[in-house]
Amino acid sequence: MSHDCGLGFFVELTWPESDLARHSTVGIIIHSVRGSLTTMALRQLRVIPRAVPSAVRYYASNVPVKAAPPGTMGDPEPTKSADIIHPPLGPGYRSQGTSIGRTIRNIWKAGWRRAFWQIKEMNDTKAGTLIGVDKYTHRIPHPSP
Amino acid sequence: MSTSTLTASRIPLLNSSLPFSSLAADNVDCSLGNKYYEDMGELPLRERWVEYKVPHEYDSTQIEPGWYILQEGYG
Repeated sequence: MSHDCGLGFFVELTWPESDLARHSTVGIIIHSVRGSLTTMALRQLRVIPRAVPSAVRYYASNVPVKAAPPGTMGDPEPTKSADIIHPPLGPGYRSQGTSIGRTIRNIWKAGWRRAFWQIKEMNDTKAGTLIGVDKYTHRIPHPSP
Repeated sequence: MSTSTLTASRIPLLNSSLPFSSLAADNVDCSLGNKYYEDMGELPLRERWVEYKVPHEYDSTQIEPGWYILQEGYG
């Protein structure tokens, strides 16, 4: 019977920054939970402070870390068509930032009044170039009463 | 003297990620109908959007057929 004495043997081995598709490495994770059900329940209810983690993890592999050869799926080479469809950053393209960054930028560009209207109407802040206005003729009229 | 050159940005059917604004006219009456906007620096598939004329009573079928290419990308 294991008892939580508060001073556990803790092993933490950090796994390298690996992409499974790139390195194709097999990892084995063994969880060893120390403590009885009562201790686990008390720890779950935060009666016992969890100073020392009770789960011991072992990372093991019998396959050495090996980089994928270039040209394969693990390390694909960029093609010209991808560059055409998604062109690299240039003077005409800004970096696509985070959502909060885009929101702040579009509020700054569109103005507070228009940004509030946009959030109310379209639930987003947008700022761009007006490329056209139609004549609003392609609509179904309201049914007559 | 003006020369018209056929560049890649003049063929929006070829690549939808190219901007439309090179084809846009600048003197338009904004009070007519739905307004079409573009920002190529936005996230993918958020680059073009429509502001409908009547809020809360809009429908994507109100977009005129000439502007379907803006929503679908290839017309």
